[in-house]
Amino acid sequence: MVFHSKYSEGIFDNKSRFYGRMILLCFVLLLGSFSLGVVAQTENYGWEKRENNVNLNLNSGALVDNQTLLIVGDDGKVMFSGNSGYNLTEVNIGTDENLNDVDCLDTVCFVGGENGVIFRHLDSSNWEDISPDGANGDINSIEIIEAINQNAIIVVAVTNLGEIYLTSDSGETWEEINSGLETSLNDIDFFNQTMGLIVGDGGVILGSLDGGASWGLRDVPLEVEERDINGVVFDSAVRAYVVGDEGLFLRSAIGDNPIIGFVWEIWDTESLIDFNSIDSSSVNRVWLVGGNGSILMTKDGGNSFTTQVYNTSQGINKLNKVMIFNTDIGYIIGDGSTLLYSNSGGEGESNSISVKNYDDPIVYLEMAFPILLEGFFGMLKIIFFSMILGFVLGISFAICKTSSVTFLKIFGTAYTDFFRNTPLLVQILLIHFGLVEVGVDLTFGGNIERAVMSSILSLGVNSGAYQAEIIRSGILAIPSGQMEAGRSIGLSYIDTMRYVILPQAIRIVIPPLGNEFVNLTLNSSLASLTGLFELVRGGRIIVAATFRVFQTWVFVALFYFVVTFSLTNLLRYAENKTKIPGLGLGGE
Amino acid sequence: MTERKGNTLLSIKNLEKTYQGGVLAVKDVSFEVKEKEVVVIIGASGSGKSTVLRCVNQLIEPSNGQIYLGERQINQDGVDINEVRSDIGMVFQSFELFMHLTVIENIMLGLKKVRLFSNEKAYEIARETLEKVDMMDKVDVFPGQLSGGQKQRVAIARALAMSPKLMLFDEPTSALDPELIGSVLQSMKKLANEGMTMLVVTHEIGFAKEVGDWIIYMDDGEIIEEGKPDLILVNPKTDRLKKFLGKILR
Repeated sequence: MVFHSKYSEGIFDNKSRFYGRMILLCFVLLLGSFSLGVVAQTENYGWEKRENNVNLNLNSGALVDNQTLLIVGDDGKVMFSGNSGYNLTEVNIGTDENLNDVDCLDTVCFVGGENGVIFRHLDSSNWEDISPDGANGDINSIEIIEAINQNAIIVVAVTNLGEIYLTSDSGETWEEINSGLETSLNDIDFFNQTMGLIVGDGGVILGSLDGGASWGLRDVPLEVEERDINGVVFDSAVRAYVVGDEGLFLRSAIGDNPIIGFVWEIWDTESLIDFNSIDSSSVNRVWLVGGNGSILMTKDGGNSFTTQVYNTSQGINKLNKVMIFNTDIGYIIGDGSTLLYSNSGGEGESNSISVKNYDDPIVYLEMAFPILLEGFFGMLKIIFFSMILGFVLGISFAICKTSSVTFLKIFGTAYTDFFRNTPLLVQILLIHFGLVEVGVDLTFGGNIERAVMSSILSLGVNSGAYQAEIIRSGILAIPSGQMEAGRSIGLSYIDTMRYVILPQAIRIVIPPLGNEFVNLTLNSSLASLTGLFELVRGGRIIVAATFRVFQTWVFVALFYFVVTFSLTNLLRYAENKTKIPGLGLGGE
Repeated sequence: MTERKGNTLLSIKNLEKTYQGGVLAVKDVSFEVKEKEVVVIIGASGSGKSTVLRCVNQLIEPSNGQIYLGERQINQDGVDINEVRSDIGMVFQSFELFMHLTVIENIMLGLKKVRLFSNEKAYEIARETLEKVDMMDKVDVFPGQLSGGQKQRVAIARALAMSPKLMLFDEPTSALDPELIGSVLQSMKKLANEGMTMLVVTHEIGFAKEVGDWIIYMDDGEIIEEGKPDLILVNPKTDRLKKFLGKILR
């Protein structure tokens, strides 16, 4: 505290040392709050290529868990990896047809390929050919709907001839379901055991509500009817997406029927890429892959996309399948033996902050410090102007309150009483949100940001009330003879105030004024409520982005400390500088 | 009453002052101060002498009566009291120097802000005035660093610098240690000899006798006796003055 006494002089050096140590302590605490001994990570963010020597087109895959996957490709190739795709083990299942899709559930896998071939792999058994009799079309997609037991697995498969095959006995017998279509059906996805979607060429979207036993054609927007739909994802009860050629991207909408899949809306991807596959990790976080090595990601359900282009060395870069395990881990499969892996949600360092490793103090500071600094200057601006406003108001109302004019006395008392007896928070709300309603334009015709203006105003008038009381006490501490002396040489009341009383009164009240300035600085944190970008708001942004709560608020506190500590010392300096020799009040 | 020469500078007629709460401090006081005269008001504490003095430059507003400075009544509506006060210098018992200003600044303030002199001219006048009260060696020190006597001499200089027509002294030596009184009285004597019109409230009977041209004795808010010092102080007519002088000279 800055309260000055003649005894404080002697221990001033000790005090400085004390504060110096305190700051040091804060820094040590701060450093401690970083997890020390962090290994410098050389993570390749975004999608990372998994090298292999397969050297053929990979068409699809299925995830068993986050690092175990099965991949199918041309020439009857099935490959297995148990370590996130680093090593691919070739599995011979006994066919050389091009395989188009695979689906796995634990250790159970079903593979579909050209010319109607379907193979299965049950627990601890070999691969078996379970192709449906008379199936001519190429199996484009296969999906396990439900596994009741080893012998009662429900699977659905679709072909390029519009055929839909369903089995409920693990593929022993297949039932062909007449879809009434002859166009190519390209992808299947089931949300649960009953609700599923099939998409195909010519804008076909089929929906089933009974576990695949019957399928109904869904309406699509008119302009989609001639276009080919290649992929569907139905992972959420509230939304499904489909993708197709030439940048086609549809999102389910809520119509009269609350069940998802009946109403579709076109969402613009601003792309003409042929999309082949789609997958999501949550309702709004969706990945689209397709030709030209394009990987599009949206985090907001399709409102905006970030695009990455993956180029293979061979120039073959058609991506066929995206498989998202969770928010972080995903795989992309494509032509030219392409296998991509991501453990950062498919986001690179450049286009996101959320995948950064904030355990690393450098990474954290690179993100946090500019924000803190901006908030710091925002705060400085506010406190600077509200200090001036408060001081001007304080002096004016102090003069009002000490004058002998009844009206001014009442006016001054009403002002200080109101602002000292209501919470600052309420005053901020009143000024920021209330004045607009009654038609007061705080922006001066849009020239000043309203949050800035209302923050300055509310902090200023609040501090003004306290400063008025402080200055008033200073004026009253000046002997009345000083006023008489000033008047006796012919100075007016105001001139005497200005040249005689106030210069002495202000000197006396520098210590309590200093306290008030410190209070004002700390109170400025409440101005974050107006949307003003100051330290607290900066802190909240950093916490939201990094989840480093403790160290962020320690930093914010430190910034406040720096301001108030400097302010205190500045005022102490001012106090010493303006000390009048021989005047008991200002210190001897 | 004995003859007094010269024009009347200050004339007080039927002055009354009632303080809030009904205390009657001054009752029907009338007297005159001639030009270049030193009028000394003596009396016991609480006799109303300071009130009379303060009524002259209206630091206290009189309840009744008229105050004339020259021909002009100064306690009525339409009179710029600040202008009037600038013509009446006042020296206080407790000095009332501006503590935040140096000695020279104390004197310059009125010159600059009331007389509206330039900085240079104000400085020049201030130095000349300080010379008169022998304070040239303390030009740049703060009042807090001065002794009581020095403070009072600066206060005299502050009033004097305004070139007042009349100087009021409100017990200028009462707050001083005995050994410091001399220097202040010396300055006042010098001032009187130069022809300054002065109205002095004091307990210094010696000073009154030596310098005073006219003595007014007040008690209980009234003028009891007035006259030339050699008459009134040597042969007081009233018992009250006799008693007062007896107490004070003992």
